[in-house]
Amino acid sequence: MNKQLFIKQSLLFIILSLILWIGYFLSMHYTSTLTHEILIASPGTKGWTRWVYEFYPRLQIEKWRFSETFFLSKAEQILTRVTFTLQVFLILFSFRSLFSKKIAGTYNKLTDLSIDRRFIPYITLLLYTSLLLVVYNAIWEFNALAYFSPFYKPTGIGKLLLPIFPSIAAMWFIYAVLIGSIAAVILLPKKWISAIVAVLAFIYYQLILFGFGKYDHGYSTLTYALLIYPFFLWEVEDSKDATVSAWSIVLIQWMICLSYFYCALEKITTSGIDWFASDNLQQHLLLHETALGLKLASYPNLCMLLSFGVVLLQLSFIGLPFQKKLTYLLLPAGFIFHTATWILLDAGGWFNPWWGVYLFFLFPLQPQETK
Amino acid sequence: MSDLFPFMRFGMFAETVQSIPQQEKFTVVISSRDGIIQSLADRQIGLDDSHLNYLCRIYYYNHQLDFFASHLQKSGLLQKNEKLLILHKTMEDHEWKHDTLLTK
Repeated sequence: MNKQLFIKQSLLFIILSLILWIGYFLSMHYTSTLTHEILIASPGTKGWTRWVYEFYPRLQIEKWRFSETFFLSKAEQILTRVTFTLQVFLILFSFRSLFSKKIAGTYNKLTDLSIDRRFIPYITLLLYTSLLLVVYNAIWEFNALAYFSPFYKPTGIGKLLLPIFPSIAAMWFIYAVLIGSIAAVILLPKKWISAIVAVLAFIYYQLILFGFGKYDHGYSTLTYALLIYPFFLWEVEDSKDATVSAWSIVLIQWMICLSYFYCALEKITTSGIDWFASDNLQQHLLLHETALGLKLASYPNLCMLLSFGVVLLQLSFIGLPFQKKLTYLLLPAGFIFHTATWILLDAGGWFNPWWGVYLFFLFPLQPQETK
Repeated sequence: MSDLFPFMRFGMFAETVQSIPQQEKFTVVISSRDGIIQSLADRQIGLDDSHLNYLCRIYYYNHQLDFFASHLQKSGLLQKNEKLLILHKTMEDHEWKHDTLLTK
């Protein structure tokens, strides 16, 4: 490698890193003052603090429940996370010429894949059946939620797309579009337009469901997959080859693996080593009060072992795109994990959308033929 | 930071349950004249226990729990001879303390 270029890159890296870390320590110095200012501000007031309440509406409630130290530690955590992420990007950016070839090689190997056309109807059927299992009783949920309409307070994009609780007619319309578009994807030959309508209707379904201030990540991987899949269907309908480029399937696989990986990072970065302590899972189990969960809570060593197992499982998903054999281990383990969270913590239902998207790992991908 | 609705929220169960405010629970129950007490969430109302717990918490800390309870009482979810109760309990040393009745 060119020595002069390397020196130049190193100098740039050192200067940018210095700026980053000086910024970090300066911000850390003022974190306490800023946190205090945010907490004493009322959400309706103008000024920069308004944006904090805009992005984190729960703060209005949580600030009465937790001490200032709690929020200070959160603010410091966010600052540290952002700084570390920027530092990683800085390394990749500054020394890109060092590993650009290797990255490009790995990238090509992982993405230049195709899939046999014969598998596509099965993937489509399984994916949209998963969606159907999640939303088939949506209209009953909507009708029940109507009793709570005075408490509807959307956040995020909900404020834009569904600012007020929909009328009964609007809810029936969303439900009809949702079920109709799923049926169209499964039954009609032209699928990609119906697939776009289905994912938009599914997002509206979530907006209604999560418009009461509390939302969770139960549908995130399924939503990601449904957002990407219409591109795949469009490509399938656009060509007549025996194999179809599988870049969108690979993207969905990566998205699933990164979601699991991110779950593990959240646990480690939010709670550190305390997350593995036996009393952590015990407390979660006691809070949720399920019959089996309460029994499990009386075995502290098992609780600790399971905590390690969960984080190990979630971290391991990042290896799946590189080592396909892990499929046989991780998918059954993931299935058991999600079923256990339902039985032990009452989180989700018998059908978990997270394992509903495992189907993307079940069909073989092959290196793309060069034309 | 992790609450980018609807696509990202991976912080569920990431927090250790250590501080006292994390060890509290609100329950909405229905009491009938013959003394039978049933959780409101068991009636398949579209919101589960954790959702109801969250809503109660909002209105409790905003000092509007009576408004929340009276709306639900009149909403049509309950029969004429039923009464809505909101209970609050906290945990200490891995044991739930007794429920406190928050509604009138």
